[in-house]
Amino acid sequence: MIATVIFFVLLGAVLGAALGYASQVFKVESNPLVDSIEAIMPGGQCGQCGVAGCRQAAEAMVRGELNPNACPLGGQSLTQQIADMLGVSVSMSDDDIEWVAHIQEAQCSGCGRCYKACPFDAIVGAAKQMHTVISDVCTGCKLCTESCPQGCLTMVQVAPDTRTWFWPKPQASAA
Amino acid sequence: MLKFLSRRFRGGIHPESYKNLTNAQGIDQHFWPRNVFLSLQLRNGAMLMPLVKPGDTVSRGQLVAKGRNDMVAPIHAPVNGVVTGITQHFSSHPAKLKCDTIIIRANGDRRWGESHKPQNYLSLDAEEIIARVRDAGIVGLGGAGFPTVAKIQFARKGGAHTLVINGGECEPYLTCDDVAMQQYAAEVIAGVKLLLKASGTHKALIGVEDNKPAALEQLRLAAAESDEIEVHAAPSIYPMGSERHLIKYLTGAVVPAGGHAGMLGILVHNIATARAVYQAVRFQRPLVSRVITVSGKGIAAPRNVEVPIGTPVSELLEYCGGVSDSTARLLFGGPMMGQVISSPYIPIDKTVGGILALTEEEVRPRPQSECIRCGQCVRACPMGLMPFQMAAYARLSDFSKTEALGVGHCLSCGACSYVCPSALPLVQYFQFAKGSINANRLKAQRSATAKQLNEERVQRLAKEAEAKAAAKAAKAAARKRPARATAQESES
Amino acid sequence: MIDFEPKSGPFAHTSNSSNRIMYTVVLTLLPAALMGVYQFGLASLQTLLVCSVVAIIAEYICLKLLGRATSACLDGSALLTGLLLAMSLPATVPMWLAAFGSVFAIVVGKQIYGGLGQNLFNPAMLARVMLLICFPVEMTTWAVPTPIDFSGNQVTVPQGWLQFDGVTAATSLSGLQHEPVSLAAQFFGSIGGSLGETSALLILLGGLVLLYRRIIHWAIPVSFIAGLCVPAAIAALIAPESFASPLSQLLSGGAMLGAFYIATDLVTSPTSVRGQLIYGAMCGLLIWLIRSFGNYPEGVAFAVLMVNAASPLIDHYLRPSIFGSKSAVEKS
Repeated sequence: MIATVIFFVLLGAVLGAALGYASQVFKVESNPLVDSIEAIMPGGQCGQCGVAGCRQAAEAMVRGELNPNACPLGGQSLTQQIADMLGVSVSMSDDDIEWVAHIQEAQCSGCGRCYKACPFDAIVGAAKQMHTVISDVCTGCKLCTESCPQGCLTMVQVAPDTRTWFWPKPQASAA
Repeated sequence: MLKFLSRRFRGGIHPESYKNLTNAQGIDQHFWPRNVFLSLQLRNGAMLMPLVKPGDTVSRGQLVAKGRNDMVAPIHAPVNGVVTGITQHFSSHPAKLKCDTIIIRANGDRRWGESHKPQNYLSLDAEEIIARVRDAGIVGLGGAGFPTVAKIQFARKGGAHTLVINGGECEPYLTCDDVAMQQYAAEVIAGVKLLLKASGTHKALIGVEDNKPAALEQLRLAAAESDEIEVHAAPSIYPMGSERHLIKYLTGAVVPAGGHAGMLGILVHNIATARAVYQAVRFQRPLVSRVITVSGKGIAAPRNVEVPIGTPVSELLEYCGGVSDSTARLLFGGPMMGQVISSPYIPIDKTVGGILALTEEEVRPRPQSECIRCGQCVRACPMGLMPFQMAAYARLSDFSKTEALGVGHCLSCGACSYVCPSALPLVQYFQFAKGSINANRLKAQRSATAKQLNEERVQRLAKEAEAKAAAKAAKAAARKRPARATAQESES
Repeated sequence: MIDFEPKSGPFAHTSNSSNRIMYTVVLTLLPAALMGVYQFGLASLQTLLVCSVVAIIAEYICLKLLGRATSACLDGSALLTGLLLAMSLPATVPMWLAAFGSVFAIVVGKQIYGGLGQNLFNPAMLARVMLLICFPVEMTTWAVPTPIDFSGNQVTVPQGWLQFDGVTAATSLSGLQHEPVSLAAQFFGSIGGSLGETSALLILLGGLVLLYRRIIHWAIPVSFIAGLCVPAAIAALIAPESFASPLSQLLSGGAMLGAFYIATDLVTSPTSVRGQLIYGAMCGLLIWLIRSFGNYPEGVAFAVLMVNAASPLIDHYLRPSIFGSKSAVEKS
């Protein structure tokens, strides 16, 4: 009886020590899920999701405080990827509106503020020269809109062209 | 015969053909447009550079726009006349998208601008044939519109051995290939010979559905003396005109799913393309017109017409006696895979094989109801897919499941929608899913690029900051150093 | 008016529609149902009417409550469910029981799954099994045939034919050991049993019409019959005294109705040919097992419900292989 008690106490102590040691040795500094989500995010730190930056957004998503579809730059594909990683289901919005920055070049003074504001180097132009947006690269993060003192930088919706247009989802039956 | 029975594909349907509306008359070659509209953007989005400006006089066959490389076929003036403008106009896109368009006002003169003497075209070598096909701006006239020269060159590089000529024309109503084969069988066969030589293939198999006995007879007569050309009758099952299914029937070989015919050493061209190749090589005439079936019960006088490229739909319909009041839909192409004509001012491009005016009786619009899982679509699908399941997932926008079920293999042939008793818009669900998957892929690529750019920028800023700090330090050091240096000097 | 609105093709369709499919099935069922009326009298006519009408009313109420188009209650699917239920009931069941079964079939068997096309189980069979378990006495009190006699110079209508509560006795399967029933009688339907299951001939004819009109596919009836008859034949060869012959298995009870009308229910059966072959064979085999070794004399309803449950799984694993692929698609 006493031997059994001693044995189990000892066993518990040994295993507990082993676990404690292991938790020290194999300590994970951060949740690996956060890293992998951050890795697929655009990384513009634009804050449109309502959180300060992409890392913080990834953390909030892992904690379940932020919806996987919160990032407007990534669109549906990013939402799907994050939802798959988190193992949750999200409702997809069907109207994935894409925005792109546009500079009315006639009014541009060449101050270069928008160029500095763009996290993706999607705006080109030298100081005192007209600036323009490389629309293929622009993610529509809207960080540049505030920067323009002339107010000539606006966000416009991307109109579909032959390459990007595709059939909309059929209307569900009336019945 | 038994050998061929085993090569039939699974699935397929037998829609009513309506081909007798137009298949007994010859090609009408009297039509001439008043204006032509040449889109400078192709259906796949590629752009062309105009080589003329408003006010220029152009002659029939003159090069008016060219692309950046061989993957974009050049455009020639289909008529003699004056360029009246280069402006935004409807392209043939179903969503009424506009693109830059050369507008030419035609005069009544139908002569070619430059006429070349017919040559002994059979003595030309492969390079020369390829050059003439390239300069003629020939694209696949079966509907895909892929530049013919690019296909020939891929086949040469890939060491293709067999040329399959697609005379399936399995779409209901369309008879433009049928009548061309009946009337110009010799030209088709000559074109096939040129294609054989140009592509380095040794053998040509011509597949024609058995509902075109006259065309088959003419082709067999024309090809009687050519051992390397075989003419085969294929059973009339929609979609026999699909490349994969015709290849399976003619050769027994199966194109791998997700792959293409070139992987089997097979090159596929359409009957009408072969004829265009003949015209281009023998007479050096560019592709500026094509035979189009104008049919449907809404057309007063259905027929096959030789139409200059760029003719607006309205002019052609007017020529064929106009459309009746009971017309419900205007279509480019056949009723199965054709596209809605969303405005009568849309011009005809090189890929259009038919214009149909269908009445309500033919379209049979029906109210949509719930899927009853009857499985008709599964048995009709020539690709072995499960259309009703894919549509259910597409409806939920669950594209990863839709893709796993194989929506990428869908031909959009419409066999499933044709048989569906619940009238579900299955094809549109698949188009929507395919478009969304593609858009998502593009978006993912773009975000990857954006991420990379952002990382580079962060590094650059860090480097700039470092450089600035270093420069500052250096400046500071420099400011101190002279003092110290003088001190040292004075010490020494 | 020319419609210029963009719409995806195709612009050609069969004249087939879901409504037409449902009503064709109903029409082909009618001869067997009328045979039941001829056999069992007005009581059976009453059961048929009650089941059908109540099913349509229940469908109407459900659609109304769900806020859907109520015209869909006449799409033929509710009528078909009611009719199939009636045909699988004894002709003399009380009216309230038939009505209760019908409501159960529509509400629990169909609408709670989301309506037409969404249900996992065959609604008529679900209702039949529920009734069998809850009301075993009523459900196994079988009517004795009291057919109208056309043989003499004048038509004689027996007294029992006119009675709404009919004349009752036990059916062929439960009475298998007691008195042999001739196969011919089973084939033509002059036997006791469920209202619409007695005449194998009329059901076969109806089934052939459905096959000809391509409403059902041959795979399910063929594999169903094979799944039932092959083990029955083997067992009858080994121990003829304790197992019924394959032909008797096929002609008795609801086997024929099951093979052509119940197992082939479009909504609850798999869609690919390979899947249908397995589904039908499983169903036939289960019927034989239940009849031979189970406690219930009849197993069609139980067997169909069990394979219904397997149907989504079959659809998932037995997809047709994609043209040009080595095997079926990667299972997601």
